[in-house]
Amino acid sequence: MANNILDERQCSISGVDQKGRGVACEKESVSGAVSQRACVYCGARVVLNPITDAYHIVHGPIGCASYTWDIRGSLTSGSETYRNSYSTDLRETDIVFGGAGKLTKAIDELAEKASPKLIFVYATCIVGVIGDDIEAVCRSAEERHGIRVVPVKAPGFSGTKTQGYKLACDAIMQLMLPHSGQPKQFGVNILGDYNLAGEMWIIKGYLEAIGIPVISTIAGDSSYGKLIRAPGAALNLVQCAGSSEYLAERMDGELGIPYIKVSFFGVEDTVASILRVADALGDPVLSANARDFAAKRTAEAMPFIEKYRPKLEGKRAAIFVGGGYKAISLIRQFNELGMKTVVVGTQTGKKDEYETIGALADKDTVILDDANPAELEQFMLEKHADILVGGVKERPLAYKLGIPFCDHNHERKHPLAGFEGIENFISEINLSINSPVWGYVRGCEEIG
Amino acid sequence: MSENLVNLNVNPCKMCMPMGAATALYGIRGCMSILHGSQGCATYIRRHMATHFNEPIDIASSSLTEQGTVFGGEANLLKGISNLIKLYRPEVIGVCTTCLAETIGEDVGAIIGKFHEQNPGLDVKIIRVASPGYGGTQNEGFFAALRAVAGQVEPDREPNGKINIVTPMVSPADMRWLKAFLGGMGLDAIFLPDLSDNLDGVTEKTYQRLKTGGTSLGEISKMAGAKLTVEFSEHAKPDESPAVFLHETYGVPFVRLPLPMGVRGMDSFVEVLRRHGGTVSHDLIKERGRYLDAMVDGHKYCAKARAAVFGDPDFVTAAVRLCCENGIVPVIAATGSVCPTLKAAVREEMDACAEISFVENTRILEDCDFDAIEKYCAELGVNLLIGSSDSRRISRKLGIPLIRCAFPIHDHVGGQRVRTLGFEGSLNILDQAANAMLDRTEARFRGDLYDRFYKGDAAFGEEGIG
Ligand code: SF4
Ligand code: SF4
Repeated sequence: MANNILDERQCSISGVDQKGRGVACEKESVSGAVSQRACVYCGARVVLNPITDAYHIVHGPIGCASYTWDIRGSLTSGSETYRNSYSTDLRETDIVFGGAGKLTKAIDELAEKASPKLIFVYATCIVGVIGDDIEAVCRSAEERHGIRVVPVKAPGFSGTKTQGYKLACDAIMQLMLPHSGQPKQFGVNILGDYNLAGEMWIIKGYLEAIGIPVISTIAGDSSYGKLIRAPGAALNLVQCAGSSEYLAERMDGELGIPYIKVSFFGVEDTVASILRVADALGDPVLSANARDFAAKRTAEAMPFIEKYRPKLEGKRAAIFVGGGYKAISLIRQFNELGMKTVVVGTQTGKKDEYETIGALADKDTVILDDANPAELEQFMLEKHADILVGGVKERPLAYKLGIPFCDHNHERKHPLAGFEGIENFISEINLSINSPVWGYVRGCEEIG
Repeated sequence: MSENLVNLNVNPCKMCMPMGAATALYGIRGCMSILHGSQGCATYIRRHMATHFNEPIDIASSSLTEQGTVFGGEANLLKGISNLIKLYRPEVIGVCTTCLAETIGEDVGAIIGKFHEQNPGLDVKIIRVASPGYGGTQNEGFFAALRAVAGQVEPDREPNGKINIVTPMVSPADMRWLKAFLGGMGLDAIFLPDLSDNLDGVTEKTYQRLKTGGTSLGEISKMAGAKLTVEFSEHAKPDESPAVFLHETYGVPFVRLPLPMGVRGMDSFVEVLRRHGGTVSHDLIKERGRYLDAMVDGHKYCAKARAAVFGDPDFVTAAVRLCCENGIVPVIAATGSVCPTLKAAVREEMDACAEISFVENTRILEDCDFDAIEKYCAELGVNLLIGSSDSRRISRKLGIPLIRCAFPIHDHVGGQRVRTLGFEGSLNILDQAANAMLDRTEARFRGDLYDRFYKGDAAFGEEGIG
């Protein structure tokens, strides 16, 4: 019989009574454990990808570009450039003789034919090893063409996805800093929302309805022109803290923009966030507007929730998502539905997030960082999960185990944030949990 | 590379070697793969495969860190292999290199040797595959893995009268067909690889983390004593080809055939099998007859099609021939692989087919991207796409129907069940092509003809008689 939990993994799993304390996290993955995590490059790409008019050049062999080509559901109101894949497609000879020349030519050609305003150059694993000086290449290209060419040195081996988030935030700072002198305006930036299925638009709509202008968004439906407006905002709202809290901190320190953390998943978090944003701006009129808005939308949402609750109450949920903030919101969302979270894990959650998770979850909830398929399998079965909320790779595993599934990933095509998202979320949970297929599947060996 | 931007690959028509290698290894019984490199490659490849096959895909990584990259990844790989064994209890482990491992010059053979030394008596066969992503596409990686498996098992040269069947990446459903087909001809065959169960699994009461299908190493060792190897590839280079290896090393005769698609593809396959003791059943004769019947039924609609065919070289070659047999003019034959032999394989018949309808311009592209394919689709008036779902945006943008029949299919379910081989598989493509043309005509002809010929009704004035 195969073992389900490797010794090195024990410390990243917290079972009964430990309440999330002591879940070892923010570590590199264990070799051979079949981690669900991607890499540094992936983290950087997640954050920068939604900048719609940027040319994202992946400097390296083709795979890294190929596997990340147009896989995300970030929507645009402008350019479609970001949906294309550009790669220097390094070959054997480039590995031997270096790829910097090819990269230079590629940028020159792009600058000439496509008149870009902004190019990101991602260095993937082997570029770090063969020693291409991409910083020098980018710097001289900026001078030659008078456009921004920003290097993102993101070799996969240089850390985890979290390191990639950081690199992306640094790249964004590089773009914003030259525009730090602009006059302050009343309004906020939305950080850490990638406009998946239009979610940023939904949130922006709420803020504007209350009377709060949105100056810039990072990086959902952003563009070079929109991005450099960000230093003028009065407040930053940080949605996905895992990826963007670092940026918020830098903007606070260097641009003098304070930030608050928000989340727009589920009624509780959405309402709390709306109120906190308004309060943070210190205008009683806005706070009153926010309260009215939240009350009205909550009242509108309740009949829907009440209608579905009887079909979901008492069911057990397992959660495995990218970051901690999402997991926290999901636990609350399940609570709102009368569901119990029995397993909760993230790819790259942080220490304080795991503590919050521990405080929210039940005593016997299994909490785990950087889980692998074997662990997910064991705990979902052991805890009799009725549904898994997760990413693309987890879906077929859930299905094979006979467990319904809710897609909470970057590829989805329907919003899960805000009041609109609540309805989508609940109806997706219902249609998977209560699908007739399970009745047949569970009797799968009863033929003849 | 792109034709608009010659120094960039824009929208790749390929993936990388370790993906192909890991896919091929899924066709070996009891096998798990570990990619020697950093974490991302394995995860991306798993995601890419999972959305096509709709199966849990578990591929390990040695998860190299900065340290490992600088000082060598031996410790990581050793640890990775033992962890993989603890979690999955595999009988076989494929260690596939990535760009990183090859670039830092890892001696994987020596590391495996060390592993065995440290773990004497452990019953697991470890196979090493050199698959740097920069060395080729998934197609080359697939063959590299097959060649490595064939070369690294203990041969059993005892003549066994079996036939070896070596395939490039084909769907699990096609693989099931192939197995049944050989059985139907009364032949005993060894399949390298056999993806049929492992990448298109069943729902069972108890989930098996280590998949239970595939060809066992015991069977594979018998390939050395087979009476013939049939290898469905015209493009794999001799040093990538398991058939050539088995011939040169163990004297197993071989034929290399195109994938069994279309009449000629099927006929040449059946002929080879017949010569080697296969019997042609009444059912097969009828099936062939039905296929011919269908060709006639569809030929006038197919003749309207101007197709772009893209994917791995052997798929493209076979699909182009199927098109030509049916009067579908393949105006673009394209592969993302570096494949100098593609031109010779399809040029002549593409020209002959084009000539019937006075189509003057056709393109054969190797080492190309979707940017180039898109450009020529627009220029050459393509009205049918045959290949993977990576062309879905071209399909939308240019309004061209797409027959999804090659890896990867990410926007539909059922990638694992796509049929392209045999008469039935061929018919699947053929019917879709004919129907796409019928739909196109149906959607347009009333409006087109109205616009073109209806000039109002002069006798009754502008409004007509209402
Ligand atoms: S191209 Fe190389 S580095 Fe990129 S995913 Fe493939 S193996 Fe990994
Ligand atoms: S090569 Fe490196 S950067 Fe590219 S996918 Fe693999 S780990 Fe990530």
